[in-house]
Amino acid sequence: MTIADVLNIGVITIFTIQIALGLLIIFGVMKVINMAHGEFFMLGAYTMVVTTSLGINPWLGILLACALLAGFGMLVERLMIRPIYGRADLSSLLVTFGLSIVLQQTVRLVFGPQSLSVPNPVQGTVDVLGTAYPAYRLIAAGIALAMTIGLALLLFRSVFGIRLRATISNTEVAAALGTNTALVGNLTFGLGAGLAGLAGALMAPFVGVVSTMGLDQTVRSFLVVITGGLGSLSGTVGGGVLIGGGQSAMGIWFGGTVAQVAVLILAMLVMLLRPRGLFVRKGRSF
Amino acid sequence: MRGIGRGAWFVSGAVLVMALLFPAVMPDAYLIIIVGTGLVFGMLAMSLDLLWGYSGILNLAPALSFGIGAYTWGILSNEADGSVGTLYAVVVAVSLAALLAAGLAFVSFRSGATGIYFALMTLAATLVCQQIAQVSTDLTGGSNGLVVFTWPTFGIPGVAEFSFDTPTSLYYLILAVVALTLGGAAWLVSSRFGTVLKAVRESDQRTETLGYSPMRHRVLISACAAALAALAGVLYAPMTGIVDPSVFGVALSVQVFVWVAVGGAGTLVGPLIAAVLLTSGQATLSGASATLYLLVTGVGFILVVLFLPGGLASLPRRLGLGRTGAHSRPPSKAPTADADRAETVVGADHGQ
Repeated sequence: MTIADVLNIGVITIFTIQIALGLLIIFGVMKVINMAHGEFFMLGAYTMVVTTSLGINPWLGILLACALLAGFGMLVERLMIRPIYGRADLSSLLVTFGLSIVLQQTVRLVFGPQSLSVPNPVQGTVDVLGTAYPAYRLIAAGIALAMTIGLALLLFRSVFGIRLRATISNTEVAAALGTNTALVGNLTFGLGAGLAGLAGALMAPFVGVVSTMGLDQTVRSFLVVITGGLGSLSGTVGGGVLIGGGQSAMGIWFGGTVAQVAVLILAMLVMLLRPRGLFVRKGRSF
Repeated sequence: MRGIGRGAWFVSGAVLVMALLFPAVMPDAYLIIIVGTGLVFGMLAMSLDLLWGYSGILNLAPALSFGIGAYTWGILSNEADGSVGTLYAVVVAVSLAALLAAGLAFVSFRSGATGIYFALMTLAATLVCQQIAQVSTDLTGGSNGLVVFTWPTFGIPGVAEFSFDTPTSLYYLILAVVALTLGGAAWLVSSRFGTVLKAVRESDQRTETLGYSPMRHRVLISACAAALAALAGVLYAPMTGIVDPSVFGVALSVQVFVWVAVGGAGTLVGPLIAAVLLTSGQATLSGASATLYLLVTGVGFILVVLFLPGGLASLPRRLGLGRTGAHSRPPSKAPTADADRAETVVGADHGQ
C-alpha cells in the first residue's frame, strides 16, 4: 500500500462519514428513511457541472451546491414528507424511493446518460512524504472534515443542537417543552441534503458525474449508519471508518468485488449480532 | 372468494380474456415477448404483495428470489434440457429460492432484525448476489449475462413431450401459470393462514396471545413469496433468452414496489395488472422517451403514495362507485391502504 493509497482511503472515509451523517440526522429527527439521499449527492455534483460550464468560480459553485441542495431538501420535506408525517407505515421510504427515480430520470433527460467531468479547481500536487498527491483532494477532504466537525459542534454546542437532539430522543416531549419540532424537522432535512450536496460538489472533480452515481452512496450510507448504530453520531463516524475506509483498503488488496461483498456481509452480520450497532453503548442514544 | 373481492375478480376475468386473445389479434413475436415478460413481472409483483401488502414484511429486494430462479433455471436447463431437465431445473430453482428466503427471514427475525433492519438485510443480500453473478463468469456469464437457449419441455421422455419453443406457446404457458398462481395466492390469503398473516401484520403481541407464532408465519410466507418470485424468474429466462446481473439490481426491486403501490397493495390483481401495463409501456419505448416514461412513472408513484395510499385499485371505492361491503374492501390497515388516514392526509392538504 503506497502513501497515495493511504491518502485515498482517508479522503473516501471522510466523505463517507459526511454523507452518512446527513442520512443519520434525517432518520434520527424525522424517522424518515431517505432513499433519495444519494440523489442529493448526485445533484450536488451536477450543480458543479452547470456552474463550471457557466464560468462561475468553482468555490462559489461548491457553496451554491450546498445552499441549493439545502433549500431543495427543505422543499422536499415540506411537500412530500410533512403530508405523510406520522403515518405508521413506511410511506416515507416509498416516497423518497419515488423521488430518487424522478431525480435520476430528470437528470438523465437533461444531461444525457454519459458520464461528465468537472474541471479541477486546484491544479497541481502536494508533496506528502515524498509522494505527489493531487492538492485539490486534500483541500476537498479538509473542507468535508471541517463541515463534519462543524456539524458536531452544531449538534452538541448550540441551542438548535439541543432542540434537534431533544426531537430525536422524544418528539412529543420536545414539542411539549416548546420546541417547534416541525421546524426542526424541516431544517434537519435541509441540513442533511445540504451535507450530501456539498459532498457531491466537492467530489465532482475527481469522480465521473453520472445520473446513477447516487445509488452507491445511498447504499453505502445505509451500511455505515447500520454498522455504527442508528441514532449515534460517534457510531456513524466509526461505521464510516469501517465501511468507507475498510472497503477502499480491501479494494486495493483484493479488488472491488471482494471489498463490496465483504462490506455487505459485515453489515448483515452486524444487523444480526449487534442490531444496535457496533459502537453504541447500552442506554445511550446520540 | 373473500381474498380479493368481487370487483377484482370481474376485472381479472376481463383482463384474462384480453390476454387470451392478444396473440391472435396481434401476432407479432416482439409484442408477445413484451407482454409475456410483463406477465412474468406481474407474478413478481404478486409475490411482493403477499409479503408487503398482506403480511407487512418490508422486503426491499423482491427481485432477489426472481434472479435466483432465473439464473438457476438458465444454468441447469442449459446443461440438460428435455422434460426431465425442465422438471429438475424448476424444482431446484424454486426450492433453492424458497429455502434461502426462509433462512434469511429466520435468522433475521430470530435476532430481532425486523422492519427497516430486515429491509436492509434483504437489500444487502441482493447486492451480494449481484456481485457474485457479475464475477463468476464461468457459471453466470458475468456482466454480459447468461444466454438461455432452452425452452421449458413437459411430458414423458421418449413417449410424448411438448416443448414451449415459440414465444406464443411460451406466452400461453406463462398466462396459465399466472392464472394458477393468482388463484393460489388468493386462496392463500383468504385461508386461515392468510388471516393469521393479517393479524401478524397488525400486531405481533395480540397474534401471539391468540396462540399463533408470528415468527413461523413470517418465515412461511417469505418462503411462499420467494417460490412465486422464483417461478416468475424461471419463466422470465426462456422468454427473454438472457439473464444478466441486473435481475438482482436495486432498480428492478424499486420497480416492483412501484407496481404494487400503484396497483394497490393487498389486492393481488392490482399489482399484477399494474406490472403488465407499466412494463409493456416501458418496453415499447427507448432512449429519451423511455427516460421520460420512467420519470412520469416516478411522479405517478409519489402521487399515489401521498394521496391514494390504497393504489389505483382503491379508486372506484374512493370515488363512491361500487359496493363498499366488508367483502370487497381491501385490508383495513395494509401498509398503504388506510382509507381513513388517507382521507385526513388529503383533507389536510386541501386545507393548506
